[in-house]
Amino acid sequence: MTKIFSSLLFLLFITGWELFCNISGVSKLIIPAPSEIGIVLWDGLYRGYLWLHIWVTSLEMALGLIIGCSIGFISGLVLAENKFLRDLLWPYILASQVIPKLALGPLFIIWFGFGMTSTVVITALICFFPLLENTFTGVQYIPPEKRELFRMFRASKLQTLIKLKIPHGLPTILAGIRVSVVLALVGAVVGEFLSGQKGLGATIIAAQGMMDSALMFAVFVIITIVGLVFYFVATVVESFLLRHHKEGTFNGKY
Amino acid sequence: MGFVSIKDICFSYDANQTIIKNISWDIPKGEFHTLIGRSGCGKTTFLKIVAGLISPTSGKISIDGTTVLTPSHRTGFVFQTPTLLEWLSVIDNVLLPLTISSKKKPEYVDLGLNILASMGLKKHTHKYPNELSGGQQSRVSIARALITEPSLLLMDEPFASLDAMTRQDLQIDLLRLCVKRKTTVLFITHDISEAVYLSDKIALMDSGEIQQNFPIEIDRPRKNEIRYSASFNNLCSDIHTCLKVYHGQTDEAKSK
Repeated sequence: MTKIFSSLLFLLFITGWELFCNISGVSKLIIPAPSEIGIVLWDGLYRGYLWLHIWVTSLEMALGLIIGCSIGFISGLVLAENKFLRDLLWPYILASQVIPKLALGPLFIIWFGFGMTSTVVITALICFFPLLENTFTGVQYIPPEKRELFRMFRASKLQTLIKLKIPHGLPTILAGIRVSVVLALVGAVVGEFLSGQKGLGATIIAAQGMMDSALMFAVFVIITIVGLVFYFVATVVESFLLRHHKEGTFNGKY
Repeated sequence: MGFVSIKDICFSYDANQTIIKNISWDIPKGEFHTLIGRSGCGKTTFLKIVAGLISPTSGKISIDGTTVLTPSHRTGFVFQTPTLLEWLSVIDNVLLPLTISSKKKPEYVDLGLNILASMGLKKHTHKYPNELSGGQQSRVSIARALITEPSLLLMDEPFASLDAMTRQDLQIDLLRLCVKRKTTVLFITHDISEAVYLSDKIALMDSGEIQQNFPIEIDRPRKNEIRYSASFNNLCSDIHTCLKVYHGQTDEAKSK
């Protein structure tokens, strides 16, 4: 029932928007009508103009996610397991995260040049911290009885990490991946604003140059769909991995 | 000297607060001994010291002549809650101690299946903990503790959260398995009737000290009906009275 109301709300919004554009006489340069956006979107997809950009942004997002999340996960484990390294490195990691990553964009362009590499590096940097923070938290907070159980089994530190801490912390770690997925799209698109020649971010900049608001809105729609697809894949993977965990863990639905 | 020999064990977190005071205890091989006392009297701390999870401030524990310094593969521990790993199936939970000690061989899988069958869990072998009832989860945790065939089983109020009927069934199964395997047991509970039904000897603990011992001279094997006999209930009543007396004395001493 809620889904029907949700769909009706969307239809109402689109209809209201269309009527507003037709009646108010607002320049289509400022707010294009949904029908016009739909035509541009269909045209771009049908003629294949947008597919390359969708592919590039998706690839940058996926690479940034994989690299950033992998490094974040491993760093989270290392910091959780080694107090010396935690005390040594934490202030620097925190400082590196306080700097807005996008402000580093121009520097990355000098280092890695225009194109995909710079965008992937920005995306990876953005995805790194949620995974580090969530992995660190997830593997730290293990019920004392379960820790004692593993001590009774005389499990090594590595066995306790692999067989207890990581599986137990998985719901928290996977929640970090969901946050990273959303941030990765921001990283990829804004990275393309700065350094991209291809991709959805670069298309928005090109559309801005041509004062083509309808194309911009069409790209917004695609970005939203790309984000939702990535998020959906993350929740499906999460639901699969957590299928035996206690009830109350996130199941992809709110 | 008993199979389990506990000599003058003391434990304190700091100089002002002594948790365990000078406990000595001998448990002969194959006997079932129970420590009974109110919540917060130091029972769990004592059990963890015997398990080697906590080092005593002074005193010595030995199992079959070997001094306990760290947890041993010869000791099984059943916690207050089942502490099952919810991402592992029932059989994998039971085999976990062997997986960790790299002993998971086909014959051990058969051993795990046999233990599960003897606990009435054969048809739940491939289920996951969240698909089991509280009683079934407790059975799995006992099966897991028994898979390494420990000579000493330490149990910390394992049936505390279960309903009365399930608790009685588990007590019967536990006694049967321990007699069959000649397992020595040190059990903790605050349920007097459970302690009397299961034990060869009960020690009453209050404020970190063993206040009194009660040998239980009820013939084995024990049928469920003995719970309703006059002698059984008189024994429960005596222990209950002592528990109240010692607790009252402690409260009085504290108020002074």
